[in-house]
Amino acid sequence: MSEAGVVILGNGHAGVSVAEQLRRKKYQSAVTLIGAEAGLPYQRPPLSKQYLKGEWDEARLLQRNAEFYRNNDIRLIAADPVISIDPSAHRLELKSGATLPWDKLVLATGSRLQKLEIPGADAEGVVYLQNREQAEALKSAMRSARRAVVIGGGYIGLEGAAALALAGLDVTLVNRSSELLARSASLPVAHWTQRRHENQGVAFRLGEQVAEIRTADNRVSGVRLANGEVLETDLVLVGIGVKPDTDLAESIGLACADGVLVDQQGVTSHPDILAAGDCTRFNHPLCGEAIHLESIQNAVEQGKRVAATLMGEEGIYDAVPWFWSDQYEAKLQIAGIAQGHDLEVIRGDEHAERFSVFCYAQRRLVAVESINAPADHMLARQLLKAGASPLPDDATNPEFNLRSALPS
Amino acid sequence: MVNLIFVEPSGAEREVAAPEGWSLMEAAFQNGVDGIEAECGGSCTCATCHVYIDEKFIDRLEPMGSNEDEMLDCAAAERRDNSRLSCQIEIKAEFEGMVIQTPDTQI
Repeated sequence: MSEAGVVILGNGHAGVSVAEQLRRKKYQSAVTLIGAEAGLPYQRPPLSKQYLKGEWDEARLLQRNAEFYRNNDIRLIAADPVISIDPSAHRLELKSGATLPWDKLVLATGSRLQKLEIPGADAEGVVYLQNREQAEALKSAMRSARRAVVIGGGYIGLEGAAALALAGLDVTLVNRSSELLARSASLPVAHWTQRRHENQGVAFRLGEQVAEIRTADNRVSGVRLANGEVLETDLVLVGIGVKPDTDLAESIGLACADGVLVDQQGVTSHPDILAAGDCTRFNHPLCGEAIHLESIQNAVEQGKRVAATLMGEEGIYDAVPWFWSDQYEAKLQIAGIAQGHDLEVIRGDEHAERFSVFCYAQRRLVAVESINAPADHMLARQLLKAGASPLPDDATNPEFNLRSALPS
Repeated sequence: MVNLIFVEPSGAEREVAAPEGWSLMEAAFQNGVDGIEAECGGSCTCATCHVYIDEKFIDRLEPMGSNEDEMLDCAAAERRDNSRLSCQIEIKAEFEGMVIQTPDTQI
């Protein structure tokens, strides 16, 4: 093999996972990790949690320390994004003008923010929360603000609303759908989450669209809803979702469909180009259609599969998806893929502080969503991995030991 | 900084210096210690940072919470009397020289 080795585009969780696993597996050639942002690779989940609340500093946010990359001979290129790829020459070009050769290329380009496209959306005081710089901007805006409007009732919007409410701001969350977490959790979990936020004083405008950001001297002063209501505010946090970043993949003609299409080994439509993490779409044994996941678990574990493929190891990517979110002191955990389920049953009391929702599709367990029930979550992951389905009546019976549904 | 010794599944010892206030898991994770997965980044939701704590130090740790207790029952490797989740243990100056054994498997 030549000196070019593996070049990884994107230094988020997926990119770092690929680099680390290659070294753990004793890959012998060069490993290069390219990031668009300055500095060492950092963790993203704390941006809307510990980092936003000021509990963690920058050093604590890092994925690995500088010594780790040095000791493992992982070359880092920071603040210099890739602008073009030449698949036939196996070379790529960086913004700085430098070019790099590669034997195998890994796309770990993550997601691109959906921007708010209404009048006033570019005003000062309208912030997003995807990277460290934006988290810094939000942190400093929070200090001088008294009121905040959050647009979007997904995980980022809700975790942001929690941090803002805990910091003492008056928070109103506007969501286009009439339910929170519309694409990503069952109704009992969505309703529990809403009640928890309401107890903290967060106000909701559900099933409402935003029409305009009102400004004074190009600073946000309010949000006008389509129904005419104006919410006065000092700060707007926008969390209306992300899209897989497929720009580079599409520029070289790789097969994409709202995500870079990869097979169960993580290989794209070009045999020397692989992909992992938020930017991908793939078939998973737990689900009938190709899926796209936005989670740490998928970034890390698909990254591991890509490294294994690069080392010539056989196998498929079949890790059970899971996800977590902090809502105040409560833990929301999801195992599996709830897409297209036809039955939900509840273990525990959905009006209490602790319960789990078991989701079935054609009598097969496909997902379990847990509030403050970590043991249910861990057992759900084992059940899903084993392809085991406790009967719905058993799942709801508190006397039934979920472990007994596991194959022995 | 507090000096800690992690024993990896291979038996190799890794000396790591970490600031007070961080968790044992973070000290291991940032230095890439083998045998600690820490998939959830330290929110006590995955049980993949399970460790066995030096017997000499076990009584000096804060007692475990009910979440940690429940998660340890679901850890991949055998639970022992000195089992803890390393994300739930805040590093203190008095931990200087503590030996932390990682289990054979976390998943």
